[in-house]
Amino acid sequence: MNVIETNGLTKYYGESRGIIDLSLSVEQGDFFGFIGPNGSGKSTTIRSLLGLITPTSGSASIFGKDCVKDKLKILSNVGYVPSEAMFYSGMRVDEIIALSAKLYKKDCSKKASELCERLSVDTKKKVDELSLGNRRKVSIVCAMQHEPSLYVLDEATSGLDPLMQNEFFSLLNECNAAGATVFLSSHVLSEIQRYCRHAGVVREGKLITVRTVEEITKSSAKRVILHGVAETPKIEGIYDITTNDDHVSFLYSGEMKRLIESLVELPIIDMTVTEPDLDETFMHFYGGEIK
Amino acid sequence: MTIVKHELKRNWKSLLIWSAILGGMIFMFMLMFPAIKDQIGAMQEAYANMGSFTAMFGMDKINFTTAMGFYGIEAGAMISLGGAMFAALTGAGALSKEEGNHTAEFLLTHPISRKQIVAEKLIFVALQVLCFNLFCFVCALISFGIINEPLEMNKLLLFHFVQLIMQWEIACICLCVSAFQKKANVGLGLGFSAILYFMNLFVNASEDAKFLKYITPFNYSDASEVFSTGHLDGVLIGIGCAIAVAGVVVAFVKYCKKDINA
Repeated sequence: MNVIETNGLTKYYGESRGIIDLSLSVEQGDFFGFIGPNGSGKSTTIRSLLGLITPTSGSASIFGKDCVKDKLKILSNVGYVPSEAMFYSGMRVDEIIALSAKLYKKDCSKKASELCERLSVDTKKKVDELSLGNRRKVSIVCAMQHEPSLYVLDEATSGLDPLMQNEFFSLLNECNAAGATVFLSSHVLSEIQRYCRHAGVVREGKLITVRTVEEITKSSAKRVILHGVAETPKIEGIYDITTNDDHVSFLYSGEMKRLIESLVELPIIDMTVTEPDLDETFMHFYGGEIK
Repeated sequence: MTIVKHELKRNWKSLLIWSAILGGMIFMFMLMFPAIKDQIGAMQEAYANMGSFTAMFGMDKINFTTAMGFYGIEAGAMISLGGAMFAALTGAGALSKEEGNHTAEFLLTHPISRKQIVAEKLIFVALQVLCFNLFCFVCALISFGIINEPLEMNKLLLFHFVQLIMQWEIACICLCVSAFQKKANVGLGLGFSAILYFMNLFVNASEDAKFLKYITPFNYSDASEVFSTGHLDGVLIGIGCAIAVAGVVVAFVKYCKKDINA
């Protein structure tokens, strides 16, 4: 069964584009990554799904229910972490969490205190005093305390330190293992690679591809910079080469082992292997092996 | 009623401040009255010869050498204008503050319909304005008691009742306007009530502007009318209520369709 399904979903903000003809389906129990650069339409898709905005055309459904007509039934079973979490100024963290539970008409105090402990949330603080990361943690608690069966996370990890990111993802993994579906939007490819099973790539409002993360990882390149050599190793899968006097930089896609073996003989002083930035990845998706 | 409670809790300070200021003004004017009572006679004579200026503030209709008349002119004007501003701010902020402070996203992604949100916000605004008016009324009663002057209870009740109606109308209109906005607009609320207030001054001053009385709620709630005639103008109040209801309906329709952007 598909938990999320959109058909030709299109949203224009006046003249400017939000998303165009986006058709997507996410199966129950999936850990789905939704990846694209800023302004590509990730948030617009999510906001249409949650009924914050009305699509210009097309339709969307969650749990098989229409996102416009059955919004309330859907929302009571969805946990949403927004990209910018803002709360009512002057209120304390525990008051916000209690308010959220009340709006779900559910007593979640036990789950809430468990989540606060695991994410080390200081519940006595005023929300105005919170940093971006701490605000994020509060909205994670609000999204998870009522134990929904779908989690929608919009760039949910930005602002969290690595330790917290780990804790957050292990929480999500537990929920996922218990049967919940996770829909995670991000512009960080490595995050998607590490946690998701399927991923959809969106660019300029259009869904380019949906495939398993394995396929994306296989096809996604690494940016390699070698210091001390002036030419690239002679193996396949190297492109977008720039050479300098003391270093060479290229994108490599293929098995890591093969690259390492080819580097052994070279007089390398230093080397870095990084994720290419997203634009490079997308160039890759457009111009590389995947068509 | 979660949102009503939530809003009342968040806004009791603003209620307290406005009530304290307006209540304080009522006390100030009324406690001043015994001291200047004797000079008011001369003042009224002077004012009487100022033509339309006198009419503007209704001083041709009320005898303000009595405590009731003085209350109607001085405190009445303060309560009218101050109360209208408070109502306008409360009404204008109720919905648009959520978007201005980016809390709309938090609220609207919970399982609560937009209709219910507008309804609960409306109840909150009505309660907030009601509390404010009760406080002012009690302040008036106490101040009359302190200076020990004769009090016409039915007129005073009528005046405060019609103030409440007027403020509700203004709050409803501001709520309606705010449904179309992305940010809470303080200036708009204040400006709107000021314009309606001055409109009524024109109505009082000039025959040519009489038609404006069908627009401004300050006309049917004018202290000089209520205190001199002792009854209310049902037609004007009816029109006011109709405008308020229309505003609320438009607010419902608009807010239910509105795109909430980040």
